[in-house]
Amino acid sequence: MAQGENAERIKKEIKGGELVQIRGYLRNERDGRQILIKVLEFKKLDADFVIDKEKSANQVRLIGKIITDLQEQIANKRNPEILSFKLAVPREGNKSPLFFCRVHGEKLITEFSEKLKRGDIILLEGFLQTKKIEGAIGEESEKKFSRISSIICYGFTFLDSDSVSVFSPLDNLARIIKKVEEIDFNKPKAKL
Amino acid sequence: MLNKIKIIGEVLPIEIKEEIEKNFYHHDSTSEEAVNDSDKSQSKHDSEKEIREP
Repeated sequence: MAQGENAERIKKEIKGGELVQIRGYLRNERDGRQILIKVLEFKKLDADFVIDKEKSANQVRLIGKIITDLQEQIANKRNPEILSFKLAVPREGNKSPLFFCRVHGEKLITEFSEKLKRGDIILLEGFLQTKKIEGAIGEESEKKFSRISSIICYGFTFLDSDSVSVFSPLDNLARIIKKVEEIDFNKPKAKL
Repeated sequence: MLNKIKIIGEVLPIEIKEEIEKNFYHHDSTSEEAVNDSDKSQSKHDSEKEIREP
């Protein structure tokens, strides 16, 4: 999603099928469960640009406060391979934007449960995933599909606060990163 | 707080342009309406927690 000058430039400069790099921030959909990207900058890439899988082409970084009781969530979760939690990332004019985050894999879930708790402020690193779900639920019964977004977490750094001073010195921070399973776009879409 | 994304990908036709225009904020986030919308959005997200989780 782009507005103003960026929107005009995108209309003029970008055509369907072209490769682009976008920088921006995340916003929740008003009446749905999709997260969109508010575009702040974009760059058209050459047609022969090769996406380096080692340097992810989909990088999300959020500093926010965990508002889910992780230990309770872990104790009650039905799937031991997935931990879901919410991260509050306040932004001017937007009182309490919460993002649904997911942690996949036992190792990273263990790190989360041992090192973090509700109320902690973290730098979360991950990627944005949006699933197109075929079928219909509730109010959306007229639609043939809906989209659900999550931020899939592959790492975190515990911060004492959201103040810039926590980054100095950097040696005091412990960044925990784990490899997570890549998205398999060949899998059939989930049905409700 | 930090909220950043960098993404590289192919531009696809916006099949849901109208849907986006209907569903997303057009304010630049400082208006009262945007704040209220955000709260509504959040409560919807909260209420759908169970649906979202596998």
